[in-house]
Amino acid sequence: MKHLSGLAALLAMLIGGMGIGVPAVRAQDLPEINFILSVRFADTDTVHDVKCDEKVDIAAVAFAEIRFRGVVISEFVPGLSVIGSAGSRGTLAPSRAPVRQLPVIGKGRYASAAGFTYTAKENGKESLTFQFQGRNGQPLATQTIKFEVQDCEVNVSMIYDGTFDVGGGITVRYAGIMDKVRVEADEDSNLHGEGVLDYKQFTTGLPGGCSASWTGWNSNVTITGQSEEDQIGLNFDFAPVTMTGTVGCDGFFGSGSSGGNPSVMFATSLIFPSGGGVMVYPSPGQLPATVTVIVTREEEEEAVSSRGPDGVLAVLGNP
Amino acid sequence: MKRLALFLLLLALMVGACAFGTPKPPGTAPAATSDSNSGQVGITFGSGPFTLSDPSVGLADLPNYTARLTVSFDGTRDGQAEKWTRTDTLTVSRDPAARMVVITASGSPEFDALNNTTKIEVSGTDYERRGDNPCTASVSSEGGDPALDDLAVALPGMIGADEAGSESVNGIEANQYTFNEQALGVGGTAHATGEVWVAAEGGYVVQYKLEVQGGPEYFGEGIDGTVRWDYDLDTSSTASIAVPDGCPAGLIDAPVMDDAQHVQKLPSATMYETASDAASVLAFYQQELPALGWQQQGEPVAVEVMTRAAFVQGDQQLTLIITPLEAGGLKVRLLLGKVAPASGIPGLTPTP
Repeated sequence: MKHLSGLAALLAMLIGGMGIGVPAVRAQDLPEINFILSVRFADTDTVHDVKCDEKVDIAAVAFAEIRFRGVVISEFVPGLSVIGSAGSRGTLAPSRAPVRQLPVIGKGRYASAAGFTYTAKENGKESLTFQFQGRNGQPLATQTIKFEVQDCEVNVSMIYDGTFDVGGGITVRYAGIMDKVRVEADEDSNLHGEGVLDYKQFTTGLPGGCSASWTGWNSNVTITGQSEEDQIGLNFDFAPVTMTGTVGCDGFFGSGSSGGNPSVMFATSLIFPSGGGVMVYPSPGQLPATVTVIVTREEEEEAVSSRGPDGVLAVLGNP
Repeated sequence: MKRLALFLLLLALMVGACAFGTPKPPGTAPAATSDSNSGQVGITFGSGPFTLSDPSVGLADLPNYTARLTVSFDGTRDGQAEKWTRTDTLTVSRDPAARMVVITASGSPEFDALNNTTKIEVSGTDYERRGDNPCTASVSSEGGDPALDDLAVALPGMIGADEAGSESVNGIEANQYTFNEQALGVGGTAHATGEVWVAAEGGYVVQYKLEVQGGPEYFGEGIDGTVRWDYDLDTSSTASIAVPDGCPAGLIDAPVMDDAQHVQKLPSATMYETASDAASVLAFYQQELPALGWQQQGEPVAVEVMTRAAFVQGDQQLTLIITPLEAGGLKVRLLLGKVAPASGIPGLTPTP
């Protein structure tokens, strides 16, 4: 702060501000000011590729390098601003930002800079242009930065898992897995993806001579939603399913089928932060279960499926 | 590192960017020349002795604090009334290191969506709950969530504020300064009235009040109105930072198989692929997890299409689910959550 105070005093003396009076200076004694603009990502010295919908803070480091009688003083000058514009791959906000003391390149490090946030919306090469402007709007310096926008898609996984204590030592365990589904965004940031929820159910602890088996089910899942600047809204639509169970003891068996829509077991609308995350919630369905939903943006390995063979599942004996 | 962003961005979006006019205060030097990156600049600062270039100075040295910042706007945009307000309350704890911000906002669809949002950063995990939506958790990014920045970085700095005495504010001896649009560098563009109280020891901002009245030259085309900043710091706060109920657990402290590939370690979930068989994976965790305090709960299910086992420790449950991959190999999932209470479901009891 002393540095700035010194600058303020120096500028006051040099340019006659603050009502202190104008010292008698010759023209050659007037300070020469070079306006410097250096645009970078706020959290790193380098410009790197950007993940889609990742909000990237950009610091347009802008200051006046003041030279006076051979002495160079670099400081920020309030009242100036930087305008920025993005290409076609995303948005840059605000369009104009004042030069302030902003944290850049690491916590606790500050520089005179104008702060912007870039949000990518479409894969491809992106170019951002910034112009350091004086108070009259006159251009003082310009800079363009280029990078690649990647991964406008999100990956969505869901795991439904629970245990039901029937009593008498009998326990029903069940799990439904929707492995990673690639959900892609169109040019309007509308999301769409298709997956399969694979549900299996097992019974343990049956008395000797008894058995129970369940076919499980697979439900096609349609994921839609909207990728917005600071959040991802997802909607889940499940196809109806039917499950058959066979239960019996000592050679006497009975079977039955039940059907319905698995949507009753899940929250059908969820909101995630723009960078994704993990959400765990209790299933709203009849069976006690926990639902884990995972949304990621990182480029991952090839899509895989955990779907196993359909059919009657094993019957387990006493623990 | 990504400090300041959201707040300033929203502010900028709401009120438009500052567009400075052509102030011609007496006694200034000629303005910088056009079409050049070199020249002279005309600036008139405040006339006082106090300069605040970094309003967040000194906060890093405070052990704990709670800061509250309200920014509001009241005016017109393109002739239509516009009024919004946003209050951030930030609690910072150093030991253990944690940050929590609670945001209340109103006056625009964006602010309505943001209203009643809680964000927490602790132990390498970011938690977020918006309104009644379920809580989400994610691995903290390198730069951290900008919403958890020191709120003071959103305060306009100043040059040349005037001394206005000293007094105790929030139990802290502080020096008071007053300033106006000149100190903000927007003289001739807007009218501003501000006060700031700075801790006599530590130099951090304890309280800050600023009101700026401006028109299109300050806010941007079509916008007139008044924007207010009201900042308050309390170092005596003992409010603890606790992850809300229902939020996912943190990262899972459990090993993965030696041949694990495509490992994803997320809050409440660790997932990877392995070429090992399911029995080996199950045996691995049956050996490793008890050493970490986990006890197997019941017998595992181990069939062709799925292997499932549960381990408990206190009120936490770690569930292991192994499924075959279509392309060969297995996918292993470790899920951390609360032990679910056993309950009966009518109509589902198997009939022997």
